[in-house]
Amino acid sequence: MDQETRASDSTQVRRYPAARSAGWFWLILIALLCFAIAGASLLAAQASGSFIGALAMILSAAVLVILGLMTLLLSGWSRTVRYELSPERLVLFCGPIRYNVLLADVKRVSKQDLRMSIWSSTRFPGFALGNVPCGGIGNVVMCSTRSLKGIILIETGTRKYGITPVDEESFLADLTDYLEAS
Amino acid sequence: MYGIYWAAVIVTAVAGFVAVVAWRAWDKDRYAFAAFAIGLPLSALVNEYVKAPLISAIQGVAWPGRAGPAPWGFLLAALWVAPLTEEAVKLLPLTIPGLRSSLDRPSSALKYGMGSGFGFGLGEAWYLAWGITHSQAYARLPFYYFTGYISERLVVCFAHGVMTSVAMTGIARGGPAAAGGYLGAAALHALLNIGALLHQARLAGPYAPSLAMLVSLIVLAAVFERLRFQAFPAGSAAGRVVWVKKTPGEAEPPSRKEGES
Repeated sequence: MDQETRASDSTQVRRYPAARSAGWFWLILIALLCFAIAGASLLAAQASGSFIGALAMILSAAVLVILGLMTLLLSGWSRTVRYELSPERLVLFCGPIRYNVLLADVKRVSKQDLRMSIWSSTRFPGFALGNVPCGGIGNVVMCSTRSLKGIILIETGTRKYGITPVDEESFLADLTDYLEAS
Repeated sequence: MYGIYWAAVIVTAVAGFVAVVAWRAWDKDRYAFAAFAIGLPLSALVNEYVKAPLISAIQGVAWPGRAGPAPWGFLLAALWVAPLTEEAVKLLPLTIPGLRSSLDRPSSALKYGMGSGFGFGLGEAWYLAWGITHSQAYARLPFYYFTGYISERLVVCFAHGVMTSVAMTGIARGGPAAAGGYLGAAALHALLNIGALLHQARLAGPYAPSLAMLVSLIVLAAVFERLRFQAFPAGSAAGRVVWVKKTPGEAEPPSRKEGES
């Protein structure tokens, strides 16, 4: 197999890395943009003639630096997206974040293109994490290295999860086997 | 290099990034790219060769001598010059035969409209930057003095895209809807401009342009979402059902492609 799928005989946990993407690169670009604008704001604050103007610029720069650092953090996390499938549950990992999906709760599995919504969320080209509003189907809990196209959607009674394993067919075959057995 | 040109470079980088992401999401539609490319020089052309002579002509009739405050007739005419001329010129990509013939769906109208409008907005950012370099007061300022310009131009790029999409959607429907789409786009454009006009006419304070832009942005975002929902309705995306939980007494549906019988 061309993917890094490992099965542990004792626990029957199979690990699936997420599909590769350039999401980390886009996130670094966004972080650099935040830092550049923050730098420009600080220069403008230095040149500002009024105290209020300078304060506003410094606050803007502080917010942008925080945003830039968070984006850099996400860039690192985007390289750690992976999934673990066992007969009882599917666990989605991204950095320190994990989502547990009990297979007994799953009602439907599909593969589809999601529709973007303009509502703010942690969704970037090549990376999506957490609650992401999607047109027509509502919120999807994403833990994926694509944000719209070819998303495997796992629906439970209360939530929808979006994932992008690198070897989809193998993952789906294993998942459906476990779902049939659960 | 002038500071304003660096600011225009930042606008280009951000708007270009958004445009590339949207273009990739829309399957790298070549006509959307053509509409974008055609839109780039249109702002300079329409400002230099259409709007300026037209406003001079209206001024000659409605406000000769420019004595006293501007009359309402002139202000109203000036308010509509930019919307009517710019919304018309942004439809120029329709002269491409292939683009015109493929404008038969809401999705094409949205793609081509956003392409042409985004290109127009980006060209307008550079045209304005070029104009600012001719101003003694602003030409030598460093780029970080132009954060207002950067944010305003980014909003305006999006706004031009939405307004042109409204016009293109009307044209795609054909008949009276074509005129309705064009006039609707012009009305949205007038809403965007009204704050600046009121401020220039000293009928409103310096807050008016920002307030009008904020209100317009909310309206335009709602219009954009509506157009997008029409263009890509729920369930239209390619999908494949892999597994469905069986309920008692129900047979498992076979795997299928959505849209197939």
